[in-house]
Amino acid sequence: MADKKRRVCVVGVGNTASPGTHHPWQTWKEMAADAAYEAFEDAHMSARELDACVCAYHGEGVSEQGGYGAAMSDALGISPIPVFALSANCCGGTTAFINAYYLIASGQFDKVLVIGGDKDGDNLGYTEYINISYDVEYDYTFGFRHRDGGSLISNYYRKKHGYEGFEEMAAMSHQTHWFARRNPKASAYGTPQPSLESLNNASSLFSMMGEGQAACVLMDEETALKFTDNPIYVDGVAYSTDSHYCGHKVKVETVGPLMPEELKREDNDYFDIDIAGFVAADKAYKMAGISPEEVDVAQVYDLLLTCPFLVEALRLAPVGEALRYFKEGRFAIDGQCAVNTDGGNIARGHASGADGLNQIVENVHQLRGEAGERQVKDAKCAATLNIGSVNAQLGCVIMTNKNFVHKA
Amino acid sequence: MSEQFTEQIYRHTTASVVRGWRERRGRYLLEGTRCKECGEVHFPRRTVCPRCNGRNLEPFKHSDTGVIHTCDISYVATGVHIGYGENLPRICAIINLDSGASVLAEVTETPLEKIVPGARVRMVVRKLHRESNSSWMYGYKFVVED
Repeated sequence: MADKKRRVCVVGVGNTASPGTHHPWQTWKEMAADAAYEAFEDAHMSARELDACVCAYHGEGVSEQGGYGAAMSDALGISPIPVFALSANCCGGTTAFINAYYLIASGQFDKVLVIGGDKDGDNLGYTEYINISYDVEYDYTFGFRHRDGGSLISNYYRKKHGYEGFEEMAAMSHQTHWFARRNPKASAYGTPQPSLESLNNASSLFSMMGEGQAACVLMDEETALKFTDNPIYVDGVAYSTDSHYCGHKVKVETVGPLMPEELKREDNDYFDIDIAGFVAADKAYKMAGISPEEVDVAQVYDLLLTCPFLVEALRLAPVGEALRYFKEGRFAIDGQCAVNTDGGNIARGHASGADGLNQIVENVHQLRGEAGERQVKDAKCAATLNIGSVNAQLGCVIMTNKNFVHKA
Repeated sequence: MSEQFTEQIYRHTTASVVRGWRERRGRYLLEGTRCKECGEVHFPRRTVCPRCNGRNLEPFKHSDTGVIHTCDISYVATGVHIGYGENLPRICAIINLDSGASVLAEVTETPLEKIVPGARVRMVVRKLHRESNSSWMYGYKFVVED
């Protein structure tokens, strides 16, 4: 089957600035149009040339817009093409991207827009609704939300892997803030760089919550070369799912017989690793034929300790070591692999449905060599790993530019 | 920990009463399911066993004692959380039940210094919050045993 698939490229990208800030003067439709039309301009195409669109939003209730696909189609002026709407918590953007990949690889569509975003400030019941993106029958009724689950796995990770204070976390946060000061679209751009001492606490790992939209135009290789001479190739994509219920992460009964052999442990305790993340990353690497050592730049979802969880799932660091690697500078701009070069959720900002696409937008800028002050030298291969809920929905995308050659 | 129960603000969406009622045995008795094919126990109750994909499941009452696997004590209200916003500190824990399943639950009526991983806990039924139709919701919480 693999040889029948068409090669897919990213041709245009666009996103709204400051996704970690609220934009009370704009509707979600205006923000979607801003992101999409920036991507069309970047791809040197008109909106009416599109064949299909896939859009993402955080989850039921949060968007406060039913029948999202038709609303998006009308807002962008692209009716009557098909617009597919997807929801996967914070992973929505990546999930939409992966679905757009399949639409093109299958040969059904040539030019597809992927768009994702959120407008949480418009919803009166936002703080209530956000909690239903979790196990509803139990956790929601008992007053828990996925951020509580995030705190629990983070606490467990720190204890198990011997992180006493917040030194390593401060180093990670500091580096992420450093990148954001070099990204004009980041929420923290233009503000003073916080000192290492001021970040030496748990709050340094919280994301800037806000609103935004991000978009990409994908095409098959043959069509892409009519629009650009520098397409970014999508080599590996994978999406995996697991239970929302936090208690299920202890023994991962949910994975059943599909538990990867090499991850199995004698004591049956899996609360400090992201099984679905490993599954997604491994599948994407295999599909791309790329090894973790070949990745020059990576974007991962960072809120609490999801960043080290995902860096480890991408196999850029051994389990339990990712934060120490950050402190040693191995994920800095001149390290083995630069991580979160756009400032991540911590300083670029976190607009839920847009996250996965903001990561991809940044990787495209890096692979094209147009990232300015934060450009990773000679970046040829880039990975993103995005997460939705507590290790429940994981999307991985691996991209290369035309200069990529396998390391010997 | 306050001795008196403080009334929490109303939840501003309306929950389905039936949806809560269906889970009453889980919420009051820690009743989950057990797979008759492979013996795996589950909580919350399931209709498909994730281990063997068998559909031949029976109700299984989990033990009401267990051990704290990991816990988090939060002093910051991170949102109006079905009325929990002002009930601080908020304590969540993963409890490994003696019968084999793990649940996410609140630890209550215990001095904070005793809420640590490895502590033995026992299940109690407590008031949770009030729905917008003014009825009270009840469910399990855990207390640390001395």
